[in-house]
Amino acid sequence: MSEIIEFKCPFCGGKLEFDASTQKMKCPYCDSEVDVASLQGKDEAPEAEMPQAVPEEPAADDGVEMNVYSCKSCGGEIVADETTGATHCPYCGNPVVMTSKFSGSLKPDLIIPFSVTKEQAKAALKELYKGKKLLPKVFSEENHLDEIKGVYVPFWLFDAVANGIGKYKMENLRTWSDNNFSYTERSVFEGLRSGTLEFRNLPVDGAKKIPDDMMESIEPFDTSKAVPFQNAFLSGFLADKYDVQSEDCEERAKSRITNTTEGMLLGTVSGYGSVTKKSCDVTLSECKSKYALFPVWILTTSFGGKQYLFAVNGQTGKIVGDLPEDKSLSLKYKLIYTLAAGAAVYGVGLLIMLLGGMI
Amino acid sequence: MKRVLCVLAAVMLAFTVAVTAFADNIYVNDSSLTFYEEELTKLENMGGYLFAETGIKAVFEANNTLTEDEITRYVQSLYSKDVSGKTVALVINTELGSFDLGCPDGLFSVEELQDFSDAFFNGGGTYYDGVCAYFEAVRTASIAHGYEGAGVVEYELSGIDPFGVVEDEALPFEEQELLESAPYNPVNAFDIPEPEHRIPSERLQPRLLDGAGIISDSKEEEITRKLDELSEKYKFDFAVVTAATTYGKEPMDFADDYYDYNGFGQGKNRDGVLLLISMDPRMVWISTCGKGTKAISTSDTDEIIDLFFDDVVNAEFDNVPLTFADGAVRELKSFRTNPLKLLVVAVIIGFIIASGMVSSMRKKLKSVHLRAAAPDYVAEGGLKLLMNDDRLVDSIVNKSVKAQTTSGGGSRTGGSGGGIHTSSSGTSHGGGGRRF
Repeated sequence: MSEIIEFKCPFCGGKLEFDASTQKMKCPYCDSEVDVASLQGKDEAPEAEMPQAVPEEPAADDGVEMNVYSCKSCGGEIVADETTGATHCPYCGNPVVMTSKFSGSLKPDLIIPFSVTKEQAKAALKELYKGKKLLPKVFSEENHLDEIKGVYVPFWLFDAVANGIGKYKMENLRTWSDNNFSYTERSVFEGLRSGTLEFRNLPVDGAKKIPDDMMESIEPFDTSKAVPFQNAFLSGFLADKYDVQSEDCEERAKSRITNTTEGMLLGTVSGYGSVTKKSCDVTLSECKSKYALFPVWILTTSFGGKQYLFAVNGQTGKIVGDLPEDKSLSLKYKLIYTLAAGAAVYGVGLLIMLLGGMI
Repeated sequence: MKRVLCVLAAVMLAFTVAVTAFADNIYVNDSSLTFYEEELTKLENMGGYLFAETGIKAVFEANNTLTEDEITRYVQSLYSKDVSGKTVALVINTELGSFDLGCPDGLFSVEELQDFSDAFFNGGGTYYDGVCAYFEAVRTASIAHGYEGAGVVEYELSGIDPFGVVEDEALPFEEQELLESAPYNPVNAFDIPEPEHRIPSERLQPRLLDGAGIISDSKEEEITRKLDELSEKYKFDFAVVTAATTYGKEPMDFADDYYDYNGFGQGKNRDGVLLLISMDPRMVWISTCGKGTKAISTSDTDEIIDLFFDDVVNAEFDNVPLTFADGAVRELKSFRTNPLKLLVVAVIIGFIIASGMVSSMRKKLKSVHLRAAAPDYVAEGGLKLLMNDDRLVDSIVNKSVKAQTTSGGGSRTGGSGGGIHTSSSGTSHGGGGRRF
């Protein structure tokens, strides 16, 4: 079985890459376009003449398991870590896919192909800078990207049915008065809610090296647009296979399902002045998980000796990433606002005092 | 039908409890749980003291299970049951606002009964104050009628002396002080000229007018000079008038009219403050006008009166005007705010606002967070509610007497606040006073 697969252009023999804007395989040399579906057969039966990838001795590098492959185009050595499932040859730049990472039991159930292009991802970053008054000017003006890579990130998608029972204490206050007395009526209610809620395809990041909070921040992913997995989608991008087991991701999914169910049950207790949750039990049933690859653009940039990481949802274009703060700008704004607000308060106060005869 | 029976049973129960309770040397029956335990003890002591001193048994019951008719019948049953024939009974349903007050024929006049109920309703902010005032009114009338009880020995011996409690906490029985006040023998008194009922453009009277003849002639000049000085300095009139009588007017109205129609007050708002010492009725009243109403509130007037009240009771009036002026000056000064202080406050507020704005700007830089919930992945149809049940488990109604803004005040030491009111000339006045 071949370890590495390349998709050759049927017209010029160039290496086809998946093109996010046309959703087709495109030859960067002759601009020919090929339907992804037509390449389906290649997954299982790679061309016989393709050079065999080298399942050479796994090399240990600083404790990280490394695999070594040889490029079928130039014979160069491709060193990649355990989880890498698609990359580029460092010598000839041709896209390669390590099929063994996504075959058999490791084959993802679903994939959402990239629909956001590299240019759109870069534009999204520019957009992110807008309206951020405390962002150092140098950061946005002279900022150049260290790296931008399109990565298929492994996700576990969880399905579950949540059953929740919540008990609540509610209070209403009513006041009224007659000629002599004022009255306050405090009414206490007890509320009971029970309901079911079905969750589908709740994603949990299955890659250790991609930060979980970043992946949750670029949500949502629309899995209705997902398609059955095919190696061809990976061509031209990076891809990782999961290194966190589905069982280990389950806790996170359950926690979010429980929170959502509790929140939605609480949301049905309305019409009261105050609502307090006394208890809420959520039990899950029919839990299932699927394995999927989701498209994410990862952008890295460095500033002041520190690296900044941004992630763009490859399906929706939503970008997230923490930006640096210009401390001197913060101080300047604080001073300006203190003076402005202080002057306004002083003016109003002075007017009130003058009118009230206090001066 | 069942409900009617229940109500009947409740009413009968209330009757039984109440009648037995009062028969057993109880003076206050708190069926609707209006009082704190401590208040109840004090009221019981006052009732007991009143009975021991005057032989009059004044009882009070708050009972919210009674209708208007039932209250009337109940009151009659209360005093007709009493063998000595010296019971005054006040029963109220605080929720309906219905009440009845009664006593055996001839014990008190209808006017006096009216006074008792007035005392109760104007007695102060709470039912406790009201009942104190009611007992107090019964006691005053009883003493006037010359009723005598068995004496107070047993209370003194048992260590419970409601008089002591009352004096310590400055509660009712202001008349006690009245009896102690020094007698007034007018020698140099003269009638205060009745001014025309229009506001003159210039002040018609000196800032001190001793109509009651109670201030030494030698002091008068000094006081007038000092009042003039202060008035010039603060652009705010400080005036004092003493009167042998207010000619039947309320001291508040007398003071306001004296101030208005004699042209007191400076500036277009006629800023100033006037102290009236009236010997009939015996009362001191502080009337404020213009800026004075803002600078010297009713509670401020109370504090000023505290400064010289002992002298007034002891009939030593010579120092009263200047003590009053000093107190009023102090209130006026504390009301004027230093603009520098405002600047400091403004900068602090500005800094807080600025910190809030900068911190919201800082928040915009962060967009990476874990998400606690996952509403995006809820399947179509959303939440299916299987149970949706709300039940009322408790309902409590709290009731409090509305604050009276125009009159009242009362029982503390027999003082009263004028609130902000309009005098006969249409001028707005504030102030407060106290009997002595």
